[in-house]
Amino acid sequence: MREIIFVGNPNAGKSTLFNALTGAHAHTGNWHGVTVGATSKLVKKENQAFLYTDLPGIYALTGYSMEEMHAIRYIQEKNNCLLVNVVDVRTLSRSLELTKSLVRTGVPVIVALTMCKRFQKQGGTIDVSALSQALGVPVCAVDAFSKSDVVRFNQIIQKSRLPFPKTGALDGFSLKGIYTPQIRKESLVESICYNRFACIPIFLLLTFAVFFLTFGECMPGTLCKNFLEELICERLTAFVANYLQTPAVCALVCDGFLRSAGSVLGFLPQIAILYSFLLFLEESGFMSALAFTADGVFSKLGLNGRAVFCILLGFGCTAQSILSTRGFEKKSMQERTILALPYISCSAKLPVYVTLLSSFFENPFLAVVGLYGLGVVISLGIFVLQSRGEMQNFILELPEMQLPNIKFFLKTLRFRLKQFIIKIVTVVTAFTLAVWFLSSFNFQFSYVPMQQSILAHLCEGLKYVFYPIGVYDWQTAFALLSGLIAKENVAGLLGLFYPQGFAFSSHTALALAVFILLCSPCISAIAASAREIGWKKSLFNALFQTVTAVFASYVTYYVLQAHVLILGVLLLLFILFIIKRICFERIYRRKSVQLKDVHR
Amino acid sequence: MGSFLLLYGWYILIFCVILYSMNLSQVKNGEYATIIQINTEESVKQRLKMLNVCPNAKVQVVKRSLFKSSLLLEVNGVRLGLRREIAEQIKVLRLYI
Repeated sequence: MREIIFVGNPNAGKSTLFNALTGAHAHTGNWHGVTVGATSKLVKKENQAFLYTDLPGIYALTGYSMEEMHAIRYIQEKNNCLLVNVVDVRTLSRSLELTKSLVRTGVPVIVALTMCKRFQKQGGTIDVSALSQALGVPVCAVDAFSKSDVVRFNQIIQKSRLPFPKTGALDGFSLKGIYTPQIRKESLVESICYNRFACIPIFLLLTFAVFFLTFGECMPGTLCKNFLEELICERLTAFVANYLQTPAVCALVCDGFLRSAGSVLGFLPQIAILYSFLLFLEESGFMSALAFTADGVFSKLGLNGRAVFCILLGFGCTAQSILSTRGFEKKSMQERTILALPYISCSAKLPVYVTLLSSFFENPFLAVVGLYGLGVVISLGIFVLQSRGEMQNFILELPEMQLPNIKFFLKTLRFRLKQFIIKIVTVVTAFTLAVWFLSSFNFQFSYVPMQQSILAHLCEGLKYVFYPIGVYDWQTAFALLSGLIAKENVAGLLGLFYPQGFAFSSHTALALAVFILLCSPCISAIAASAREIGWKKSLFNALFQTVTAVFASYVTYYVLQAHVLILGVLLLLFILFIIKRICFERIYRRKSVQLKDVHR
Repeated sequence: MGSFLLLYGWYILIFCVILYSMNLSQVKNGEYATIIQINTEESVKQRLKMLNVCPNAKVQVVKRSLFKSSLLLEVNGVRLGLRREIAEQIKVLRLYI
């Protein structure tokens, strides 16, 4: 088995090429540092096996951030492999340093030039065969979106036994006559997006518009959701119920399977809109513009603009955004970010919010936006509380903004939605079926009402968790806590337990939504954070988040019951606390002075 | 006068360079500058070199971020964002183009 490793500068198109060659679905995007760990895929062809490996982008064989160290160690450990050096032809003169040091390692190297079309459009020229001769290694221009190019490149790297490079040719190498760089002009869109006063308002406006499209009344998101929900929960259930006579089987299929799966699957259109917005931000390069502009805000919080990437990815999936914190240079910064990231509502929390709120609000749009906003504010607040006044470096290369390739965009969106459906059909349905079974039978395995079932005996005590806020049954508490396994479970179980609507008030529903917002992320996110900061810390974080979430839901409930009065008092206390903190900082420590240095 | 310039010309030139050199964070938006010296720690210096920011390179300061915490530079076709604290450690000579 031969290993083929993709190496190159960040944002050169390694993952895109890797996906095109192997048919994999590695995460791609138009910003620097998308890939954070090695992704491998085994490809078998004519009795031969090839292991393709995609690595995080590196600038040189001496690392700077954590993910780069990881990639460099990976290259140095392997010896029987082929290195595919992916080079963005627009930055060739800079990338050659890496190419040269790769050639000097003595491993077979092949150079793949990407982005040639755009380069030529901007007036650059390159002589590929002359470059190949000068470097002493094969050079190939590849367009990852063209099928014929990909097939041709695959044949080259699989078939030929590449010669070991001669390192002598590299000294005195120059690009003169081979390469003329393109002329980069700042487009209108770029100059607007990088404007420090325009960028953040544009982003907020876009986000608001997307939320309106998703949750607003008579908007495509809500309409599609209602349609899909009716299709699955009402029509399909009624259709299936006609054919099933035994009550137990009918209840299993209709209540246990269709209703709960339907109550989550119905959110597919809304999640699709959210995903395509995030995908657009990533692929267009707007995220980098935002990271640059918002660096001013994050510098005040003791972070740098890179945090924007983590926060925006957090709207998709918390586990993924936790992994993306590897792009930071310092471990302490990563730990702080990981503690704050779970408060960003991931896409799986969306169905729960809407399920909880839509039965009490005519139009849950504003409430949902408020919850999302509250999550962002809380995570920023945590950054503030933890900031130690240490200076963070910020060096980030900024990509050229471009319109995403439509075909590619749709393919990625389809893949992400497919994963969502697969998760619902496997994990969530299996869990709901198990719960249905436990809540429908007693210990003698006879079909009984829910209150005498196995689950009722086991989880009776859970009802005291939310007793102070007006939830007097164990089902709700159980459903909410089942979010630990996967947040989609919550909506599914609420659909299973309350087919006719909830038995509590709107204030309670809001308090429960706050609980979901603040409680610990699902098990996969905890595992991801354990990989980064260790099990002990991440389990402690999860416990802390869940306990504070319970208390925060109590506070929300009582604030809503006593209306504005308590809210005002709390706000006043909070402001006093912040002022006291700022004064304390003024007196006892200046910026960048550690507390322990002062009290000696 | 000619002999005076021949004798002290180099000193005057060096004096002028010191007089007109400033750090990168003092360069205004849209202006160009040549880098003379980079005084940051070694790892940052290496990273900057990979992004074309090295002595003798011509830099344009394109924009600044919110609260002017970072600078958007353009160096030989590479665009990068750079924290002001690092830019303060980079000595440059302003170019009047």
